[in-house]
This record gives sequence, C-alpha cells and structure tokens, in this order.
Amino acid sequence: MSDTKVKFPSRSIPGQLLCPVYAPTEPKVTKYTAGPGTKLIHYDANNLDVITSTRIGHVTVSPVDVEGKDDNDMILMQVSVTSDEKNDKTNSHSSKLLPKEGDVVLCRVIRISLQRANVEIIGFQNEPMPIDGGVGTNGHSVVGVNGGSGGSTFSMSQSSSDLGETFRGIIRSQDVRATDRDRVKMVDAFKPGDIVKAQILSLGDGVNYYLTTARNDLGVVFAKSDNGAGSLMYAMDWQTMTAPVTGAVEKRKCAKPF
Amino acid sequence: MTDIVEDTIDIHPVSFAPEVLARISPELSLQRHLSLGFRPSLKGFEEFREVELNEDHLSRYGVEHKDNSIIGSNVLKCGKTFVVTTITGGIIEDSTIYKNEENELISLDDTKKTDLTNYTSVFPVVEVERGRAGACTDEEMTLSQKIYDSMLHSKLLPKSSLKIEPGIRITDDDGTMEIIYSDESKQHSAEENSFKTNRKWSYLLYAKIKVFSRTGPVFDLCWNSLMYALQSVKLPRAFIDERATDLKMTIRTRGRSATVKETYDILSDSSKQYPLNLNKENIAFASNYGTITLDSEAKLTEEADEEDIDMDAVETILLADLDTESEETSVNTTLSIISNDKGDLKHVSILGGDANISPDNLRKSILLAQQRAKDLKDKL
Amino acid sequence: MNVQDRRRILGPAGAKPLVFANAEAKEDKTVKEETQLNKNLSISLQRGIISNANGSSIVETSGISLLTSVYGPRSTRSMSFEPRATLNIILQSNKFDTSNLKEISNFLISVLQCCVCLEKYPKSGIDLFINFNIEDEDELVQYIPIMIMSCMIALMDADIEVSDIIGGLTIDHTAVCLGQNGDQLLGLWKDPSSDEQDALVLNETIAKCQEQYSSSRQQLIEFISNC
Repeated sequence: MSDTKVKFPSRSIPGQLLCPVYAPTEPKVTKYTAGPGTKLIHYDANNLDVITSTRIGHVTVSPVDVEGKDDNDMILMQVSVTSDEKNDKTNSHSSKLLPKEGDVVLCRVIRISLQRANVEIIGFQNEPMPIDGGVGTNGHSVVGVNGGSGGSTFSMSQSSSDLGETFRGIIRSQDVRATDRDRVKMVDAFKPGDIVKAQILSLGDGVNYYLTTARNDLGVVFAKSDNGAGSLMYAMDWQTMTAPVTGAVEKRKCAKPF
Repeated sequence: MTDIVEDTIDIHPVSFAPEVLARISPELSLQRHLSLGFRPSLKGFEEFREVELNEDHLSRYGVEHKDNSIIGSNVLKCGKTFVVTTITGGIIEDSTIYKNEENELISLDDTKKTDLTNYTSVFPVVEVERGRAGACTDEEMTLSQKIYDSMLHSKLLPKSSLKIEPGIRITDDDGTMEIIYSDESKQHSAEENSFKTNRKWSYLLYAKIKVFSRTGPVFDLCWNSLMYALQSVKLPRAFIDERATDLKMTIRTRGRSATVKETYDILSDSSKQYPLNLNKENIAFASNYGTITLDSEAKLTEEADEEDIDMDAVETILLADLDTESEETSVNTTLSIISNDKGDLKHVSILGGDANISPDNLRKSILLAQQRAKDLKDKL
Repeated sequence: MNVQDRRRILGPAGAKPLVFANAEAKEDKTVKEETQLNKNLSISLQRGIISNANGSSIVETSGISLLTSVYGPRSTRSMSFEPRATLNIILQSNKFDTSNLKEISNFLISVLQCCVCLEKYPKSGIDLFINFNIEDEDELVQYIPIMIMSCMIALMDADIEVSDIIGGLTIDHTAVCLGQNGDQLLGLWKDPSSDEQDALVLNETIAKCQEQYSSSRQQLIEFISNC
C-alpha cells in the first residue's frame, strides 16, 4: 500500500490539490475517494477528476474495506483532512458542525405529546455543539433577550422561537425503547427539561431530526424531580429514577449509567 | 446512597466533558466549580476581568485625521467581550427641547446646580452582536434605557456644556471665507452684533454602543466604555453662514435611516474644536455582582462525613463581575452598582432572586465597586 | 425618521446631525490611488476573536477595518428539507445606504457560493455578518477585496469546508473576484460611478488583477497556515 506514487502533503489548505481519483500504481490501480474535509472536483480542461482539500489540517489516507465485493482491479483508499488540534485554541471548535445520521447526541426535551417528544439538540456525546447556540447568542437570562420584540428579531437562517437557535428533533413513541414498542407512554419516558442521550435515525424533514433511544445506553441522563422544580435524580433501573434528597421516585426511560 | 455525587463518579463511566456539562446543566457545572473554590471562568469569587482600553482611534480627532462625523470613541475589551462606542453629534434648536429657556438662563447659578433640569444625557443605542438581524431585542432596549437614565441622574453632563456659541462665516469680496467667533476676536464686534439672532442651539450627543462577543451581562461594560468615550469627545465650533439660508446638502442621519435633504443653516467647523466639559467629579464606573447559595448536594466532597454538616447553615457567596453562560443563567440575585472612586454611589439596582443579600455582602460589593472604579479611572 | 422608533432612544425629532464644512477637501485623493497598489502590504489579519460566533476575523488596512463573524451552520426557518446549506451575508455599516449594501451582499453571496461546500451542510444556514468598523474609503467597491478576504478567514476559522481560497482585487473602480489560482473569474463588480470602459480595458484590468491575485492569496495562505 505504501507504493502509491501519489505523494500526499502532511498538511493541506483549502483548494489544495491532493491527488487524482485514479493513480496508476503497481500491481493494482488505486482509486481514491473523497472523505471528510475533501471534495471531488472535475477539471473540464483536461477532463480529470481530482480530490482537493477543503479545510486546514492534516491529510490522512486510509484503506476502505469493501465487504463482500472482491474488487480485483483496484485498491480503494479514502482521503480525508482533519482539523489541527492546534486550531482549537480560542474557540472550542469541534470538527463536527452538524449532527449526522448515526451520531449520538445530547438533547433537551421541550415538549411532550402522546405520540412524540420534541427535543432540541444541544451537544454531541462528548463534544459541545458549536458555540453560537449558547447564551452568548441566545441568552435566557433574567432580562430575557428574546421576548417582546422577539417575534421580529431573527437570524437570517432561523426563526426565533422558544427553542432558541438549536436544531430540533423528534423522538417518536415507537422509537423510545426496543421492546414492547406499542405500549410506550411518553409521559412515563420523558419529562420536559430532561437531558436525553439519543441517536440520530435520519435527517428528517426541514425542521426536525428523527431520534431514537431504543438502546440500553440511550435515554435520560439528567433529570430533575417534580418537572424540573426538584433536585437531581439518579437512575435506579432502566425505567425509574429517584432523588436521593427527597426520596421522590419518577418514571423515565433511563440510559444505562455504566 | 449517602454520598450521591461520589456514587455518580464511581459507577458512572458515562461522564461528560466540562464544556458539555456546562451546556446541558449549567447550574450543576457552576455549583461544582464553586464548591472547588473557583468559578467556571477560573476566576476567584471576587475577581474582575482585566479591562483593556483602546482609546479614540475611530473619531475624526483620533490618531489619524479622518473625515468622518464621529466626535469621540472608545474600544473597551474585557475578557473576551469587546465594546465599541462611537459618539456622534447633532444640533437642535433650543426652544424645541426646553420650553422656558429664557427663565432658566437668568436663574442659572450655583444653587441650581443640583437641579436635574440642568443636566442632560446622551442618546444611546446599544447593539449586542449575536448573529441576528432585525429589530432590537429586549436586552438592547433595557440597556439603552438604563444607560440613558443613569447618565441623566448621575449629573455628569451639564446642559451648559452643550450650548453652542455660533460664529459667523463671512465671504469677502474676493471669495475667501473667514469664520469669526465672538469670543475669539473683538474687532468684528460690530458685524457680530448685526448677525446676532435670537435663536439658540445646543449639541446633542448620540452614542452607538456595539457589543461583540458577548459572554455575560454587559451593562457595566457598555457604561464604562461610554464613560471613556465621553471623556474623549471634542465638540466642533459651529458657525452660521452669512447668507444663512437655503444651503442644500445631503446628510445622513444616525442609525439605519436613509439619506434626507435638509435646508441647513448651522455648520460645524472642521478645524476648530474644544473638549466636552463634563462634571468630572461625577464620572463613575459600573460593576456588577451576584450572590448564590451553595448547593450542598452538588458538592464534590472528598470525605463522606462532611454530609453531617448542619443543613440549615446555608452558605451564600458573593461573585463579582458575572461572566459565562452558567453564571448568567444560574445566578438570579444580582446587584448593579455605579460608583465613583470616592465611593459616591450613582446607581444601585438589586434584583432579588433566591439568594439573600446579606448586609455583609452588600457592604462588600459597595466597597468592591469603589475599588473597581478607582482602577478603571486610573486606566485613562 | 418619519416613523418614530419607540424601541430605540433616538433623541428629539427636530435634531439635525452635525455637518462639517469641508474646507480642504479631496486633495489627497490622488495620493490614495497610488497607495492602492501597495495596500496588500499593510493588511493586518486576526481571527477567532468573537467567542459567541463559530468563526470570526478582523481584516484591517489603512482606511478599512472589517469584523466578520460566522454563525452556523444552524437550523433554518425553512419548513421543507434543504439538501444544501443556505448562505447569507449581512453587511452592517453606518456610512453606506442599505440598498447599496444589499446589492454588494448579493454579489458576495454569489461569489462565495462558488467555494463554500454547501452540500456538506444539509438543512442548515450559514450566516456571515460583516461589520464596518472603520470606513474611510468612499467607494464600496474598494471594500470588496477586504470583504472577501475577511469572509474566507472567518469561514476557515469556523472550520466550514471551502473548496478553494478565492480572492478579489480592485483596480480602477472595478472589483474582480478570482478563484483557482486566478484561472477562474468568479465575479466582476463595476462601480456605476466609474467611467465607461470598453471591453479591451476591462480585459486589461482582469489581467492585471490576475497578476496581483497570487500575492494576496499567498498572504492569506501564510496567515492561515501559521495559526
């Protein structure tokens, strides 16, 4: 694999040519695919497909596993560019800007109905969301910054609502747990204000992502008793939580704490 | 289940990065930081952020000569937040703002100095940059109003220092123009008298305060920046043209408004100006404080027997210079103080929340406000 | 002015803004034109200064200081599924008319759309806010190269994927935006106030810009790869 004729730079900048799609290596031709941080560009002039970098960072080339298909003509490699750690000095940039299918995210429950729970996505599993969703832009302080004239105050991309500026999602009742899916009662699974760990099923429609908690490690991770007025509760089993101070016991679909 | 938090640490391999925790449960994040003796921003409880000033680079009287209409400016940097204040001027005919102008002029003496009607304020427009367009938010409106009111009541800006003593521009026969100010030359007094009008003008000051990179409450930053900006303001000399009629020119009004055409009869001299006269002893600086009750539950305790501590002994602590999302959302009891370096209070507002403000904490914050004002004053 | 704005404290309605009598006007105009060519040398760049935006930059020359902040990709107000991100640019200036700013912003959007990988950010919006902090140049066309530069830095600071580093140059009231090492002409802005030019002159201008493009691009690359 190391006999590729293409020599990759260790660092790249946007627009930098990384490699052609096909490289005539021995004994097999190598085919490169564009991974994260790169883009496939077609040059009309000499009818050539090339991969260019789209961000500042380190270039990595890794083999792609093609299951089942014995591609005997080509070696498949994926080229990607990952951001430097060094760049993270001022803002806590994450390379993840948008939730994608399959990502595990943290979200806050904002509305419950019989069929679904509406949530806002506030972070990835162990990375915060981009900063512009926080108080700095959003501000739910004592002096509410988005009340009153809030209706006419909008970012160009986003209508101002009670939800702030985060992406929204839906957990449908049949996606709450894996077993006995038809008998899920949403009020026994989530309460508004709970922090839920969930996985993204699909990008959904224009407004909502579709999320699921049908896994042992997914579900409520932070909850307060008495609809948020009480104290923090901790999971006892997968469907009960208790507040150690008051002894209150409430029903939730809990995430496995281990 | 005696020690909850320790349990979560021991058997919770599911842990969250500090930034994530701050996002999903700001209150818990704050309480845990406080129980360790510092704040999420890693400041001490009564520590202020460092303030950097970049004074008056934007105005026409600044370092480089510029051809704009800004007559005073300040850029204040505090932590990550920075505030850009630009001051522009306007002219208004006096009769339209103070009705009994004549009477007041006569009775303007030192005894009247305390009267509020002898003072005025700037007209502030605060804009907090947060990636939005459209109408101003409640926060911006509240800030502007609070600045306007506090400025008026701090008696910093006497109306007398905004009065215009207009000169007269005379065009000689050979086309050269000359501007004559009555207080500068006596020789033209005859002509001067012939142009004497009954109309009186005053300057108005407009402040545009833009806040970038907001991380917490910004009132004190806006106020302080405005204080510095006001001290850099220079007012141009104004004059009336001899043929003081029908000067058509295109002017731009402040803010986002359009260009309008006006008949103008009073102009500003682009070469002569004088510093704005402020009531120096009333220059005061703002600072803010919050108190919060320590939540014994959220404590990261090291010894299990600390649980035996009397639960009635609620511990409230005073935080100075609130910053960061978690403090802003969780600290509900806030104090805002405008004080000068001698400890004269110009404004105190206390927003009650869940935590008590003990007389002790009140005393401490007033003392801190005075200290802070002294520090900030010395920055100039 | 006609409609009273009750949300802002604007002061008495009868007031008139200060008008400065311009005594010694416009004599340094020619000097300005000459320094134009050397301007690239005196550009100062900064990035990552705004903590509540995803990315930000300050680009300063002798007469211009622009602060650009990038918000997003964040959710949009659109109800239908958008497979690509939408790009918005909002210009905030005290000096120029809203209508002119709007036109420039549309021009910038169309230029930047050529390089931002919008397809990587489905159902989201990317908002760029350009604040004019110092605006001593009188023609908006002079701002275009600086605006493009600050947008590029801010986008890269936000870690938003861009397929190319594009740049712009202004010569004789004509702004030329180039990409792909100068091979690709992405946009052309001719100031309406400038004199009529025939195609030949325009071609010359573009050629001149292409020559200078690489140096301004190199400067940007040096900046972004050094921090």
